[in-house]
Amino acid sequence: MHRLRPAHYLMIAPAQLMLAAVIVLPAISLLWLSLERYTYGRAPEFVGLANYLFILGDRAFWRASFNTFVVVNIVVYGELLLGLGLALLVAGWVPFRRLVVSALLAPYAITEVSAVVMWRYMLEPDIGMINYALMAIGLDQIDYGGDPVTALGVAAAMAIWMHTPFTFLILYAALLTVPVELVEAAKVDGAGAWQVFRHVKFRLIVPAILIALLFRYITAMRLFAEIWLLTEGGPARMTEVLAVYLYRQAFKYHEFGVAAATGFAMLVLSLAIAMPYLVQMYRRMVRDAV
Amino acid sequence: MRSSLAAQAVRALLAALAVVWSMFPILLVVLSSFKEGHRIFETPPSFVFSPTLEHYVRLWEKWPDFFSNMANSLIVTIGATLLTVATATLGGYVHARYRSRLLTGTAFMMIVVRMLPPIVVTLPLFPAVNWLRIHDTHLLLVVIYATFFVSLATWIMKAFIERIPRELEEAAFVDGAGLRQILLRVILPLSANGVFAASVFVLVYSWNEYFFALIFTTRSAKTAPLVISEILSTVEGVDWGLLFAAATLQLLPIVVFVVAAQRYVVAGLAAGSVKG
Amino acid sequence: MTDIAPTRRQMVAGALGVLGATTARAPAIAQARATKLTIMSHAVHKAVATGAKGGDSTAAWRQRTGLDAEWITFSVEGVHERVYREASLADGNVDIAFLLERYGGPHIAALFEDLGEWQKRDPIEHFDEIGEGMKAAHTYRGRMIAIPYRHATHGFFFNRTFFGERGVSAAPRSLEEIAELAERLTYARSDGSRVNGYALSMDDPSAMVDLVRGFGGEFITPDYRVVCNEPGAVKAVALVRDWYRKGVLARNVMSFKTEEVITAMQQGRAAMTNQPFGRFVNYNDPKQSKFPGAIEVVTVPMAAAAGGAVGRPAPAKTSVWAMAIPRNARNKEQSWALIKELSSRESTIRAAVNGNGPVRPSAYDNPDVRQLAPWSDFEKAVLPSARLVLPGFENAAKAMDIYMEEVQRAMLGQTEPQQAMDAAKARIDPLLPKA
Repeated sequence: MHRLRPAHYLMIAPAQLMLAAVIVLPAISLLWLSLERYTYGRAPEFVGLANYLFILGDRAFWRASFNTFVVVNIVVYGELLLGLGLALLVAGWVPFRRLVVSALLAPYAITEVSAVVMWRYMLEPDIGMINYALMAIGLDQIDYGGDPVTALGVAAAMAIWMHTPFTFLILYAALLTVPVELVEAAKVDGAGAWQVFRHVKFRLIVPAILIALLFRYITAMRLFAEIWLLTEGGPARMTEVLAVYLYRQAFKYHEFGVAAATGFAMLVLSLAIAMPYLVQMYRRMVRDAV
Repeated sequence: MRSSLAAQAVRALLAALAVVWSMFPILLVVLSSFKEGHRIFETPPSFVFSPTLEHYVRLWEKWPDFFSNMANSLIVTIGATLLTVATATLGGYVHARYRSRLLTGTAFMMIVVRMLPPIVVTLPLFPAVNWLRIHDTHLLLVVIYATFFVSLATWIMKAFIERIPRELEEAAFVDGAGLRQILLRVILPLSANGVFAASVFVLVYSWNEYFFALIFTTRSAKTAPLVISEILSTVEGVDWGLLFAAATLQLLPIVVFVVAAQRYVVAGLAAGSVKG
Repeated sequence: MTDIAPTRRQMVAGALGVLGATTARAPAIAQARATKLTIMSHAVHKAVATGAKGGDSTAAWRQRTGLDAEWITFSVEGVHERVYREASLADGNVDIAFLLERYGGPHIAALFEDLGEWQKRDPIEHFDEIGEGMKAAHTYRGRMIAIPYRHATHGFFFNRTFFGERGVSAAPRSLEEIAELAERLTYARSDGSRVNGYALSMDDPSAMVDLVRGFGGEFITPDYRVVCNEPGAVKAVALVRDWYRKGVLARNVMSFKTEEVITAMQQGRAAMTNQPFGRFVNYNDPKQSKFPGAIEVVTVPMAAAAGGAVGRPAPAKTSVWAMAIPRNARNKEQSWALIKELSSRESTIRAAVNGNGPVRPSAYDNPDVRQLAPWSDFEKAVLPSARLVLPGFENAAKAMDIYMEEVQRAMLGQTEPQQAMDAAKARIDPLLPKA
């Protein structure tokens, strides 16, 4: 093994500098900011844990946390089921496989803004395609503007639509690495399709499933535009998620300290979810480093 | 794979349903952007119509800025992609070829930062951006976007560079090549696939990103998704035809790109996430 | 916020430029060849300032100075989010900002120039003519941060065609009558399209307060008392809740902003609404509206139970949009020159013809205004009693959100109107300025 030379330090420096300047230092200073009362036209003032006490006592914060929790879980597991189903389907026989994979991948390329455009158009009251169809067969319309549960459901459906390609691709790639011999051997032993899946394929792709879950948990928590452009958190602030709560505190109420406290809570939550993965990665990396 | 005809039919049907679920909203926007204005909300919906460019013409007339905003998106996307790939190739090479305590630390840091929600850095960044006077510049978005993807890209590059036999480098070294030449003549050409795989993700992200653009741009560096969101909430009520025209122009190139780059997406995901 | 010399900015930009690509747009260069002023506003300001009907108020200024005016427009909330963010930067991108008083407050006053000083140095013509109340709406601790440009005072609109179809002949003269008509006007037309009796913007309390005041109530008094849980105010909430239950209001009404109300009126999805008088132009615009010429406007009437004389106008909501110069603007002399131009008597008339609510009473005497703005008599009649949505204070934005949140909770049936309004008072009280 060669030794690191100064040139090598220079080579890793740009990425590390960017990470430090744009993510790490701001994340640390967020903690500081969250201890201040900080608004426009006034010098920041140290207030200790007041911002944390405020959000803990704020019904809207708990509502946003609850919504985030529910939506994130629906989205993550919805995607997992859908993605796994699609991966199993496509990894077996399908006509025009390449085209099908392309089509399943397409929503990954869509910006949240356009996704909201599409879904709002289809859900326009009375005349939107979906609502028109529902009415035509005598069902209730999907009313995201009036019913908080429906609004969150629509946001979750949108998120699932946009992000299933990620889960699908990870699981699809993992399924392709399952050795054919193992599957054949199981079949020879008399296993049915379900047993082959449970005892062979599933076991082998468990790591991929865990990775997909982890990354989607982390990224789903960032949900913002889907809600913001659909309902702005209404009616009655009942569809806010944490990112929307943060945005409102910061840019509508100009309470940057409260927003920072919210942000710090999100940050700690993200790290807590990621902790098992991080610990495992750390162990493996330290082991490999020697 | 041999399966019965019935099983094949079921699979084909399921695949068709999946394709419809995936593609219908996209096709709806693209097709509707060519539909006459008064028929956009016709009931029952119909897809037989004589195409018109009226919405594109009106987009050009009423939102002339949309096209410079598309240019902004392009500049920011290219900038962020280049910056990401450049820094990731340099870092990926070192991480692929060397081991040390420091490198373990930096690699771990790259994994940790991927876990942090981007929204939380906006608040502290805001005064810093203000102090540097780079608010509403392409540069700012380029640096932010690149930073959020540099660790994934480094990981991908590391995985691809590890596959290049060390002997090739050593041969070049014996021939008198320096580090720079080895990188440019040996590593870069042989890891071209990795470069593509590393580019795809940051490229798609930069082209579509909404939140940072909302916070950090006003006019000069405003990107296309932001304008689409503004068209969505104008005072005259939503002008759907025009909105679809704008959305179509924004999404078509990137959808085509992603579909064309399909195998790099798969390779990148495999290298970047599954191997950790 | 920190102020630093341009040289450092260039240094930093240069240093980062090495890191990044060459995509940075150097602000210094943009400044050197500044050929335009950037105005951040709601779309309506651009429309009335530059509209074709009355004429472009910026034309003379543009010709004189060779500069151009670039309008960047957002939704009402969007304007303020952006303007404050921009105004707090070291380096401004905005030369003139249009502000609405209820999104302001003493804490943001420091971000803008004290225009009282500018007015002393280089006065706007006949400035006394603009009402003291309007000026006071944008004055904080003696600093006048914005020059009134538009007042948006609410009138009551109804679709004459729908009235005809439902056998209603005259405009309602009391809130009770409106309440009754709203149900009658919730119907399916002969072509199958459905009409909601009423449309209400619900992004902030501005439309709600008309009803509240029509029933003799108030939201927050000018001396900062929260009275939204008193009987008249609660009656309005109960009415809105009943309307929602009965389908008089659209099911998605809680996501209605003024934009959605415009669409609803233009498309004939709603029969009545209370919105600024100037919307008359949008509702009757032959290019946008399915009912050009059929939508009429009168004053919002008091409830007979609260008002005594039937037909008396309710003290409707008014709000004052005004022009401010951010402290960090680059070309304040020109900003002020354009503000002066936009504020002149002549420009006021031009804008009024384009549908603006003129802040100078003299504009109502102009024959063109009277002809093109047929609502001007009604507007003039309600102006003396019209009031701001709420008096200005630092937490006004939060107070409005809490109020609407509680109103919507009552509409959704999660709580009774009285309880909702008691809760609103309890939550808003601690936010008020300490006397």
